[in-house]
Amino acid sequence: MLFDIKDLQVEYTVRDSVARAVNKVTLNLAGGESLGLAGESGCGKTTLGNAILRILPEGGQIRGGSINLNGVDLVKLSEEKMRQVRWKEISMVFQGAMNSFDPTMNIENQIAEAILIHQRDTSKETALERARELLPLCGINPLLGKSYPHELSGGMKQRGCIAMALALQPKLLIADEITTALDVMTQAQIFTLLRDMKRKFNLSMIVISHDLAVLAKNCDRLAIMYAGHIVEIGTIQDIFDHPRHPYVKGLLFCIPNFAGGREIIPAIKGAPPSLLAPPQGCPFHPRCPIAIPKCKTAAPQLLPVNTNNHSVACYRKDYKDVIWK
Amino acid sequence: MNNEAVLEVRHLKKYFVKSAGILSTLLREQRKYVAAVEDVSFSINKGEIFCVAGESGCGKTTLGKTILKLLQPDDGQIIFQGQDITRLERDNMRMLRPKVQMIFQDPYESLDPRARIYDSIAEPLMVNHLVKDENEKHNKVIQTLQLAGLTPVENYLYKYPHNLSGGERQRVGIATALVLDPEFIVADEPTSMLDVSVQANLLNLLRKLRREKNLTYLFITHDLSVAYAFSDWLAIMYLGKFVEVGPTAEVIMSPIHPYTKALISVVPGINLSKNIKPIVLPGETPNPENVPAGCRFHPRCYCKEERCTKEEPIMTEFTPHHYAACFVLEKMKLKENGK
Ligand SMILES: Nc1ncnc2c1ncn2[C@@H]1O[C@H](COP(=O)(O)OP(=O)(O)O)[C@@H](O)[C@H]1O
Ligand SMILES: Nc1ncnc2c1ncn2[C@@H]1O[C@H](COP(=O)(O)OP(=O)(O)O)[C@@H](O)[C@H]1O
Ligand SMILES: [Mg+2]
Ligand SMILES: [Mg+2]
Repeated sequence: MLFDIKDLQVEYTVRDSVARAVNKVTLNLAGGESLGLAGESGCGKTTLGNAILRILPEGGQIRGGSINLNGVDLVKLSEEKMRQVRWKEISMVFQGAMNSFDPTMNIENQIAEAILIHQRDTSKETALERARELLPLCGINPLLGKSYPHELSGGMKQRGCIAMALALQPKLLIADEITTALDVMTQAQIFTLLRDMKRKFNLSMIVISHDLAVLAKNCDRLAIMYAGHIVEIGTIQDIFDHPRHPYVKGLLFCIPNFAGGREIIPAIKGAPPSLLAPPQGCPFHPRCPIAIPKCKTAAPQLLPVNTNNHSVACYRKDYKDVIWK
Repeated sequence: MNNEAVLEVRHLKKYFVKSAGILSTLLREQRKYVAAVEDVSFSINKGEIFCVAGESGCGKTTLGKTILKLLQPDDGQIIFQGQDITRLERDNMRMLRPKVQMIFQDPYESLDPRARIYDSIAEPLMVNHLVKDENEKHNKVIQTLQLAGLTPVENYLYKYPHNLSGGERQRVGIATALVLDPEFIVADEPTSMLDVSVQANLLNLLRKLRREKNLTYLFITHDLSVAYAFSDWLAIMYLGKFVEVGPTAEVIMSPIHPYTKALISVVPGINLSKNIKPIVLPGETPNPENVPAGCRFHPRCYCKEERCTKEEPIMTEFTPHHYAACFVLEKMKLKENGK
């Protein structure tokens, strides 16, 4: 599988104003690779995921750029053709999905329902059969198939959501905040499941989380978003050991860790800008301690810093001193 | 830090009635009870942060609420500032209320969506008759907003909760707890829904308040990296019981209980635990409706022995103040003595 996004622009029109939630986003993903997508709430992660599947809510629109899957630009596909891609080629576990199950339907029926929605020519029996195959594959005891959502733990419901998303054997799975409401042991279990699936089916994944720490052990590469832009992208080592963007450096300071001096360093103060009225230039400059005049006028481009695909969008990417303390 | 215990909890138990199905109600079966908190004992000294960690469903919230008497304890004792409050009735609790406060995990739940921030924070002052007039009330609210880092205050006073970000809303939650000048706060996973940058700012705020106001906290979390950075004492809870407790750094750096080791190994992040192989436990925190025989952790334990299925290990001190409930301690002691 080959997947790449180039200069993708997504906007929401809210009354008379426009919010650019995804701004010139460029990234690529190889078969069997998992890419983590991190950034503070509101930076555009979910919008990017929804745009890939072309299921943006009302008011949201792709305004430019391309989304290429094996040489086909999804942005240009007709709705009819796009329906052949959704769930069969690319599927998504939606943010909060585990809490939006139908309370009156048991879990295997809900998985079967999802199959029927995306593959209309399937019979009900076949769909149910497939649902029952999926349960154990996703670590759910088949006896639990008859359970209703309220009878299941958060971890089990999330496994159900993953089963639903994998029902038609997609090549690319977008997982949006799938572990956010779960405790760390359940998080580890869910990521173990995803790793198994990735290996078994050569599944590619985009794993979205507001918490960069949970992505560290569970992805091959990491992209950090800020106010609609990707500000840094690279391998886990690139990002954690050699971060170049001041925002990413600051985020790393904020994550409590066992190796550190038992401190909590509130490196980044304030809040991200409103996307309805973003600052001129680099979107991070109002919170950046090392901004220079240039940062206030023109947004820096995402440019490679070495040959391994580690790229950063910052004029001050070569600044070496500690900037947060 | 001095050694005056603010809170002492002895053999605390909290039961819930098992949700009975229609059938058992019809058959008038006897009510079944499940123990959400089973024989928990500890104490917290003034100015200390005591952290309780464990998977969801292990009883952390129930413990926090029971200590504050938001739930009625079924057995054991709660001693607050030397006074036994276990059996205090509602009228007498009123004296205590302002001194003890709770910060909830989900700021959406604890704030009235129809009340402006000013009113949300002023309300506890009114309820507890702590202000003489409007002027005093106004000043106290402003002061508290500043304390909680909600500045400039004019930007917040007349907003509604839905106008605020998650981090700001949690600061309002903290402000509503602080406005009564409490001495003891139970903070129930206050940052688990927030961005890491916001979490860092809030934890820092709670620390600053401890320093400036000598506050004492019971802090609940499921993330041991947060516990490590933030607390003085750490208790690991499993299925209603503490299985390990001690000085935080010691519990994290020299864990004894296999459950503690597993929790440490799955902490998110990277630099922190590059060399630790993740121990991903199978299954989920079992349901307190059927507690396993012997050691309650044994069905998920990766180093259990025959004995663990029959006998329940008791809390034993290994090094000063560091306790664990696991038979492995006996072997560790033997080794220690053999040296
Ligand atoms: N349906 C919508 N209508 C208008 N604006 C929206 C809508 N959904 C999201 N936005 C805006 O787009 C931005 C990005 O949102 P989102 O993609 O949900 O971010 P994230 O997933 O990173 O938290 C936010 O500023 C949000 O306010
Ligand atoms: N009001 C209640 N009625 C019955 N059972 C409850 C009630 N509240 C909690 N429980 C049960 O008590 C146990 C502990 O829950 P809780 O204290 O919320 O755990 P935690 O905060 O560690 O996630 C769980 O098994 C839960 O289902
Ligand atoms: Mg989102
Ligand atoms: Mg809880």
